[in-house]
Amino acid sequence: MGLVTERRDDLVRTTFAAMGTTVEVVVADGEAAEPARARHVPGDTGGERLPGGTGVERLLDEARRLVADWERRLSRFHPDSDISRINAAAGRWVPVHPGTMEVLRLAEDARRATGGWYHPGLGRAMRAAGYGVSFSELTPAPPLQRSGPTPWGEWPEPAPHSGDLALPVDRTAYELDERALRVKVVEGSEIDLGGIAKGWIVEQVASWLRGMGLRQFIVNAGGDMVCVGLCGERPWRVGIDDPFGGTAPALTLDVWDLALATSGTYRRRWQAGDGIVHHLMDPRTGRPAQTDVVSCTVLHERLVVAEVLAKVALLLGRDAGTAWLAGQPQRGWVMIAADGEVRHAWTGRKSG
Amino acid sequence: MDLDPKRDPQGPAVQGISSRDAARAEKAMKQGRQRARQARWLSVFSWGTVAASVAGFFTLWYTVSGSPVSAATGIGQTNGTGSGMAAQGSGSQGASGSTRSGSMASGAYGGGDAGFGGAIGGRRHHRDLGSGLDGGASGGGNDGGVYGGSTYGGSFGGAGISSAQSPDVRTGGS
Repeated sequence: MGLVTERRDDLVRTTFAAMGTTVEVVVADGEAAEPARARHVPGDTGGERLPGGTGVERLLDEARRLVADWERRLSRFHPDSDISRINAAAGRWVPVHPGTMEVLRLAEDARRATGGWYHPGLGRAMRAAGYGVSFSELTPAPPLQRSGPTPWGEWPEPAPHSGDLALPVDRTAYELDERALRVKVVEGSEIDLGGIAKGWIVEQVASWLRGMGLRQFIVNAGGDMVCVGLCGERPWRVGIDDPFGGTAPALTLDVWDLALATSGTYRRRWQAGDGIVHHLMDPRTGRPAQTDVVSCTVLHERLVVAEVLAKVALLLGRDAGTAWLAGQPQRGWVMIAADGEVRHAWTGRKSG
Repeated sequence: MDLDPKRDPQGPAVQGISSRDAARAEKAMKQGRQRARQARWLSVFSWGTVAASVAGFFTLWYTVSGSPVSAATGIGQTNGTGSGMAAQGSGSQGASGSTRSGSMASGAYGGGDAGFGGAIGGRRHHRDLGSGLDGGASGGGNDGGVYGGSTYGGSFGGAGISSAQSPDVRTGGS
């Protein structure tokens, strides 16, 4: 899909395919019509302004290029990416880009902070489950049906050669030499930055757009988004998809100046043999998580944190996830269970 | 004359390097390392954007906020009446302005008929200079209608349940 830009409902919306999903950048039309360089923004004492003659469409085109550049470094589906090079050289130091180092550091911090429930070393488990290629190349599973507390049956056995896929959750999957900008993956582990890299890339693009003077926009990659400012005079409205296929949102949120991420078991599902698997792996087993939560949305100032919180809460399940989220520095969350229950909670305090 | 180190805990003032100088040098080196680190990150973002945050993940992670009360309902019941969210959008600020939460139709979760903390944070509009008692609503104090005023990484954004039926964007299980 190429770059598609449309103006509708006072919004300029650009969409393009990247990171295995659809990325969209939505700009409040007032922003697009009035370049920030010509506008006084109270309280704003610095930062770049839109260069003369730069239209918002040109900015959005550049945003697409930024996404593509970062994806080429961080995706395990690109054979020349930093991640692929690291994985191909287990036990050896591999030089990486500083941005890659930053994401790997965040991922390791997240592993420690979650007691291993978020784990960046699940690449082998993902491949064993069939997710060794981009999701678009997999056979999609039928839509999720509302069910009882436990929606999943037995998973198909992993391929015999895949061995023990469980991870030592208390141990890192890689070593970082931040001074020398090099990384060494532990033998037997494979890095997969799903659950954090996409959010980080979205953050970079959002930060860049802010630096270019935009103050009211959203960068959204498959539901993981940074909402900057307002949509004109009102908050941004973010609809949470109905996991059971309904066209209307399960819930609509008003959001401003926050990031939000949604993890779900209902979208990236595919046929694997006679069974259906999803992409959210339980690090303790190395297999798709058995959970009674089908969708979890978390809001936070940082998208990378929101992503990790949403994923871990989903893996923990409805009750344990609720209890765990209550102790986390989130700004609100919405959880949809397999039986259709929607739980949500909000807090006003700044996360960090 | 030798200085008595007991009388001058900073050490000799002339010969060698005093402990005070050493401390200064150490501080300067530390600042230099910090600047180098910042410069490194600036170079990462070659377009000149300051990195979203140089703070560590742990800093973000372990600042645990107050735990709100949950509400529970079912799909299809969630965008109904009773949430107390004003249609013009300002009502949602009460959600983040309050540590309380509201149920949707029942009002059973502390929000009463104001839903998401309307009494605490719900009255504000974004030009009302962020009067949220719990600091989470508009907060930024900009009189020009710009929430937060800083980057998303450190702003005072907010969120809550909307009464609107047509979202600007959708989020789903990624």
